[in-house]
Amino acid sequence: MKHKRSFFAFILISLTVVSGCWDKREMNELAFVSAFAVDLNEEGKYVGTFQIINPGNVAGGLQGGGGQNASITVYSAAGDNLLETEGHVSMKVSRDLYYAHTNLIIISEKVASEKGITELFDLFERAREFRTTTNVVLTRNSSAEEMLSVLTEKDKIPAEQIVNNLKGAEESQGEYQKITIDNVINSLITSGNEPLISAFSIKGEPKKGTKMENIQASQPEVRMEPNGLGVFKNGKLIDWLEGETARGTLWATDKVQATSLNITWKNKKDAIAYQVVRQKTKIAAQLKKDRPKISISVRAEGRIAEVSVSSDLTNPHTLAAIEKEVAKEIKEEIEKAIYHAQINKSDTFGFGDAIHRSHPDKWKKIKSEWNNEYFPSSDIEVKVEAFIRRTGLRTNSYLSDLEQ
Amino acid sequence: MKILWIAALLLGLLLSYAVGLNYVLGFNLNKSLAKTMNPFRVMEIAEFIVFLVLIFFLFLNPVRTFFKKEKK
Amino acid sequence: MEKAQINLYQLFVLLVLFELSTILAPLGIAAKQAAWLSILIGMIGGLVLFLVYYRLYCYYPDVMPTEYMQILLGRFLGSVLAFLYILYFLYLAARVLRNFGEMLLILAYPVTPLFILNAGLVVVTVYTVRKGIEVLARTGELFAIVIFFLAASSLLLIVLTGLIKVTNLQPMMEVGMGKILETAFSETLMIPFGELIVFTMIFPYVNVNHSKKLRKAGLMAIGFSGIVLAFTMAINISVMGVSIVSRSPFPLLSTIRSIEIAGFLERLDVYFMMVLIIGGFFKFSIILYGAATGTADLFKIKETSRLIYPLGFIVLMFSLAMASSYPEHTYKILHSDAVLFTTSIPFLVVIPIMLLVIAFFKNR
Repeated sequence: MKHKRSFFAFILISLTVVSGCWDKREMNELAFVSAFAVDLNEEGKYVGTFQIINPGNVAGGLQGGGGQNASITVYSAAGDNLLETEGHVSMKVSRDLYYAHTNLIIISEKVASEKGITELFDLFERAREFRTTTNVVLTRNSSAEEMLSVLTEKDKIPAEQIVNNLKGAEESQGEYQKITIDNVINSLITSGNEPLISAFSIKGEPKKGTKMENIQASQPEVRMEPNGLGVFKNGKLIDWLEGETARGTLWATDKVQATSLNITWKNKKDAIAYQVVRQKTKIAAQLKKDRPKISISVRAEGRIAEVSVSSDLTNPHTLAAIEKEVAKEIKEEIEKAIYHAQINKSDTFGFGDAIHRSHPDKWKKIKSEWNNEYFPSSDIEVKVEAFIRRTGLRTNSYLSDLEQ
Repeated sequence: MKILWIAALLLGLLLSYAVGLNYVLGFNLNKSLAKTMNPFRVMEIAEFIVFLVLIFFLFLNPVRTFFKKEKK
Repeated sequence: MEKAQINLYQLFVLLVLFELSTILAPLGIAAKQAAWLSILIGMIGGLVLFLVYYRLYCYYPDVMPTEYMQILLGRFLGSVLAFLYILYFLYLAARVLRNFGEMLLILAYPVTPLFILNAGLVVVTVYTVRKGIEVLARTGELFAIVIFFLAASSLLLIVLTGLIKVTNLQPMMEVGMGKILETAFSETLMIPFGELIVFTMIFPYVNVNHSKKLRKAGLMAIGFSGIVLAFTMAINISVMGVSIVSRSPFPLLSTIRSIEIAGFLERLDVYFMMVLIIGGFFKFSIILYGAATGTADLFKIKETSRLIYPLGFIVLMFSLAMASSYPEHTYKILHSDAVLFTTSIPFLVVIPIMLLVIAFFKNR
């Protein structure tokens, strides 16, 4: 009998202690932060902006689509460091800020170019609720607060739309890349590899974008678009890459997932469009008399997607010639990008890291001068092979029948 | 094991036929070889894993029969 | 040789499925509007070739071709020839596999690697073929019904939509009789009719008390499928015109896509996909089976089933290596004399006739 009683007591105590209610947080007491943005104010203090989801207005589908109110609310506050901005914002919000669903961090152009991003990430890495796979994006030509306040039409949560937008651009265009906190930190600490962060800019008057009217129109006046890749040196933004230079850089870093490029054929510019389906890039580094020699080899596989000049695409020799042209085009892009980076004196390709891997002892000597001295003077050899695998639902274009 | 040798022989002959065919079509020898090999060149990770699994199964049976014989 | 028996109807079904899998390709389009005619001429040639294969079978009804080659030509020469035939079958299998994978890829899986699609078919086929010819034949019986339903309903739909413009088939003789005959004998005779040589590996399993019945079933199957193929090609051309058909790797797809009835029966691509998968599966399985039994017979391997996976694997490898692009693949099959003179003509026409002549004198 005695045993039984103490057993009961034991269970009661366990129930209260072990089930872990100490840290309890109720759903309706939480404010879900979907995105976080960092900016600088005039005094040089950080401004943290928090995009907080209004759950009632997001619920879509059968429940009536959320209704007339904005799906997010944006709060911002200044502080000496990021934690302080959070403290100031949490006073304005009636609920606890909850970061487990944060999937976007926006860094404004101003922070990136004036203060640098090196010291920003410690909090994100250290805080329990943040995931280090959160995406990082730069703003371009606008403040981070404006960027977070723009409402979007496809995804109700703007942060979601930015991430999806970026993902789409990465998968189809080959000029942007998604980058996470992990990646950024890694390339910041690896000497000989600088981060490349995609930027977004606001098209139109940012103030209008915060109103619901904007997204009720079929052609929203205010939109967010991916716009360039930010190049960093020693943690500071120094340049933007766009178009072919951006793509060339991503080719060389094995980040292109799919893209399309046009080649000149039969003296006609952009006559054949080649669509890359997958590619593989390998970087090998050597040191010859302290002069780095980098060889890049790219192999791309794809299909012919559009033809505007008549040519016999059934003939393997024609295809081989087109493959050669495509390879030349890709090679030119990569060389252009590398040339650009050498002028910037910023190794965004990770060539230094490749040297580190192949010559660990010599790397220690040249490490500090890599970006300014060795990288700009290194020999770069680019080898590209492109393969055409198929030509779609037609072999020859109808244009070849037109000519006869 | 015999089966694998036969398969290897057949594959070798088939591949040399493919190379020869490219050569006859007017590509030089290097290019013909490259053309035969290049479909395997741009492989995704998932693809490569399937490839390895298939090769694994190729050797599974001979190894199994070998140990069965040893037991007897 | 495994102990198995299939009946005449099953043989007929397998023959028809084998032939009809080519229904997707632009058969004999080099003859332009007369493509259907060149298919029919090819079919007549195919009937003759079938009779050659059949006569050879009549001389040696119980043994594999790999074995009677050795009887006819002596041990060494016969073995070499049999070995070459096995290589040819593997080549053929790889060709079918490549076509299958490429079609699926172009049609429905644009970013899936070809290797994965091909590997999928190989795995399924290896499984089936390991079970033996009886299982394959019974599966064939089942799917023949599906194919028949698909063919009948799509024909009905095309006719109902009023897509057929007979004027597209004129002028019929634009390319001249010479070109038509050339196409017939260099292309349509070999693909798909000549390829029936694989069935010499299956004839010994057919359970007949009277070999004449086998001849009848074979001729009927070839005649039937030849007419269906010619008819399909004629419909393709009459629906879309010669230009489009000659520029499409799969004209039947474009034809089926042009069906639009009552606002909801449209984009029936799935028809094409079903024909593609069923046809590809059977053609590939039969050829792989032929290659495997041949190899087992030649190298005296008791368990054929253990051979099938390695052979399937090398076919998979070769199907990727045989051409670096799909246009190149079709170019090699249709436009290069090298393939014609190293594979189709000797293996399908010259050697069988030669063997028949030798058999005739030996068994006089």
